[in-house]
Amino acid sequence: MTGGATPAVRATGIHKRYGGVVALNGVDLTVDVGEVFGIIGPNGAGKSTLFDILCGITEPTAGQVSLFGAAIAGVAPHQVARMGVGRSFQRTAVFGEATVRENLLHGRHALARHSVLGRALRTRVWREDRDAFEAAAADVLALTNLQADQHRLASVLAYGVQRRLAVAVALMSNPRILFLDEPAAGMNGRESADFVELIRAVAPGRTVVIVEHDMTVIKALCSRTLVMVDGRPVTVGAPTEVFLHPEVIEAYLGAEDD
Amino acid sequence: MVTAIPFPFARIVTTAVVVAAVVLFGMLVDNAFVITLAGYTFAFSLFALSINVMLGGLGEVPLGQCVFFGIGAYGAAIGMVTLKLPFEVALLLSMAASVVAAALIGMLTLKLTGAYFSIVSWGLSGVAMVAALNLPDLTGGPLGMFGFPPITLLGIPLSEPRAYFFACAGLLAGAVLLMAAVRDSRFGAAIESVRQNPHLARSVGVDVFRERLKAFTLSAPLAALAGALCVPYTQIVTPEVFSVSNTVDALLMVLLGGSRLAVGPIIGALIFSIIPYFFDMDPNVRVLVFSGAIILVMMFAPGGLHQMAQALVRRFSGGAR
Amino acid sequence: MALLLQTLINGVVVGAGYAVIAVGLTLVFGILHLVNFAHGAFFALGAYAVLLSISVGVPYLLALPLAVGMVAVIGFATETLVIRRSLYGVGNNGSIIVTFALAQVFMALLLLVFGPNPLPVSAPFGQTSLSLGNVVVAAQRVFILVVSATVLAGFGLWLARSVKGQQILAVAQNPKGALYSGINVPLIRSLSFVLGVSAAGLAGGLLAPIITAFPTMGNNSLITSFIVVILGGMGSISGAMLGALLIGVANALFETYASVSWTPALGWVMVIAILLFAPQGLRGKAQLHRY
Repeated sequence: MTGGATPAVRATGIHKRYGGVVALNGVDLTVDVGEVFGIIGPNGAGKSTLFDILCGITEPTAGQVSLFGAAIAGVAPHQVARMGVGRSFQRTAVFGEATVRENLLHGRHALARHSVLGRALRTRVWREDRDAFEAAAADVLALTNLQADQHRLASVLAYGVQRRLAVAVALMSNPRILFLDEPAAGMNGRESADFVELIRAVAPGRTVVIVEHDMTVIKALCSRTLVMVDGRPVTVGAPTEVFLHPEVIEAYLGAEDD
Repeated sequence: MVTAIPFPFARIVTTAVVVAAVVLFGMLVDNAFVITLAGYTFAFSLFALSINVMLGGLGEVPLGQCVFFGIGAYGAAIGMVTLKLPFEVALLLSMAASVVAAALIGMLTLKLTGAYFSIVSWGLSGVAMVAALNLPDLTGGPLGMFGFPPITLLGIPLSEPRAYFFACAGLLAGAVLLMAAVRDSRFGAAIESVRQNPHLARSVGVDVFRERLKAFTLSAPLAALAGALCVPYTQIVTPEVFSVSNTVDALLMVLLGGSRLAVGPIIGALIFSIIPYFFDMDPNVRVLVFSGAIILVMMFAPGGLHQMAQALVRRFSGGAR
Repeated sequence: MALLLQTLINGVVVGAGYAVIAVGLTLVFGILHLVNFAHGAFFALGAYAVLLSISVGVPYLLALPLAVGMVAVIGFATETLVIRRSLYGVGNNGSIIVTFALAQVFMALLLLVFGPNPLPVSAPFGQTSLSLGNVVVAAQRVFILVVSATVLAGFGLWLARSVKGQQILAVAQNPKGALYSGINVPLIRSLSFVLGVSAAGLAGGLLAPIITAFPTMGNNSLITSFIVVILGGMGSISGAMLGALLIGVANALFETYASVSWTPALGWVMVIAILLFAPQGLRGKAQLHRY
């Protein structure tokens, strides 16, 4: 599949146990730079666990993950962010008590360089940070269609708008790779269509890894997708092929003779 | 960039008015008791500010923050009496000691959150009180330390009521400015993000533990300064400074004024001091009334007066900030 | 050797009392997800309720259940008026502040009504004691042990066998699921709170004859209950019982062989050490369970 180029994500032999429970039982995957890669599977398949491991939130019990050639074993989650990784989660998506603009400011944290003194004395470094933030915020607000809402509190936004904000926050650090955990969860048809457009607009020049339940979203966005069942990878390929795989059908619809 | 009042102009005007009011108060009021009490209130407000760094800033309830208050008080006392140092030096040393203590304590305990952190925090103040009681050579034991030489700060005699008042007011003003600068800074934003959503904060690159540690070590010298400044007023330092009832008082100030407003603790402190002045209360009645007040505030207005005011403003302006 | 045995027995007895308090605290934590900083206050209320009853002529053995009843009523009022209204919906630290303030309120009330001096609580067993070889055990202590063990066993059975008990366990494990299956969750919450603090009250009434009634007795018992519950693992009832025994014995040993005046600090040091090095405790899990 890949040439000799360094993949965006390479995971080998990933295992994860929680006490006696095996969440992941040997996962290998490779994501090429610039791909939009999907991860699907029924509930309990280990998708979110795999997600957390790939983007550096959790350590695997065994196995290696490297992002753009750099291993992330032992690298703290906040340090992974500085490697150009943007992440958006299902449950803790936004800063609820902050406005949209403030949310974006938090997203920019890893790139800002000024200090408390710098802010107080309005040094050149602070001004550069501020200008860079304004420029990035303007771009991201336009891209995610949030300009009208920029001064509203995140918690009063409609659900679909909040998920857009979550992506916006992840985009503020101009990441090389974007990890999205069930970003379209709970969206209706129109919201998820809008969401697909958003990711299509955001993807060029970046790698995107997206865990999803919504097959339409996966089909529309992903060049390849991995199917997880019970902690193991079952198959990986283009969405249309993958959906025809017998084990995938069985996992989602149940076996033929039941 | 978390602001309480939308327009900078309004901020400037309010500040000017407040400063003018304080200065006039200090110059015109003749009752020495009232002036000194006001000064003591300002000094204790520093402790309330310290609590608010943890409560409003990090979202933790630092039941044992009185440890640093006590370090400040005992530091000043031991510095003056045992080490024969001038007050200013003792003050600075005790603030430095509190920073070191906070760094050590923080390294150990800031990995804990919520009730666990509060319990450990409370525990440490308990240990401190037991230590103060059982080390009479250092702390004077249960009777405490007293008999201080005349206390001066940079030449200003703190035994003189007006001087004490302005010294405390000045230091408090400095602390408020510092807090405001911190709030608007990248560090302040990082703390906010940690308070609202630690998981997401980590994800955008905030080193949650380090920011918590920084906030904690910032709060400690404020508390120590408060403790030291209370010494000229009380003229005695006993193990009671490590008592959790100091934290209760400060907590109420913060809750009354509102933890989301930088000067909320000070507003609370003022309200808090005025009431006992008008009602001569038995200390237990005071605890009863104030703890009851905390409960009422938490039941009906957990954001304090500031939240109530903001809610009213928001109702009239339609939801946007 | 006799001293050691004596110390151990005293430790076990006190541990049994702690177990009752700690199980109550665990219950409140497991169902209401509330770390009840007022738990020690209910302990003190139980002790003073016994004192009050005795002072109007009620014999100790009747005063004890009467006191538990009084604490239950106060607990019910507290849950209905304060806890319910202030804690659901406020941020994470709301419960710490409110229950902490409640503790201060109760303590101040006790100070105002009864005064700061320790007051003896006379028990029917008086000075009688039983001797087993070189060891002398006060009858009161035996009484504490017997009552605590009976209450704990009875509670365990009740949780396992009764409808309400099963409902409590269900709510502990899955509040939403319990709600959807028709369990009256607010009632269960109220019941759990009342049971939990009544346990503390019972322990107060049991231990009062030994430690005398003083207004700040709640603080010491709260510290100890926290240590016990954290050591045992938040949410585990058997852990709480195990932890209580360990702590009771450890405290007794320290007091006898080390220093009495530093003993209050021992508890704090232990809780700090446990939270730092083994925060899940002996049997910790996120939810309440019987084993």
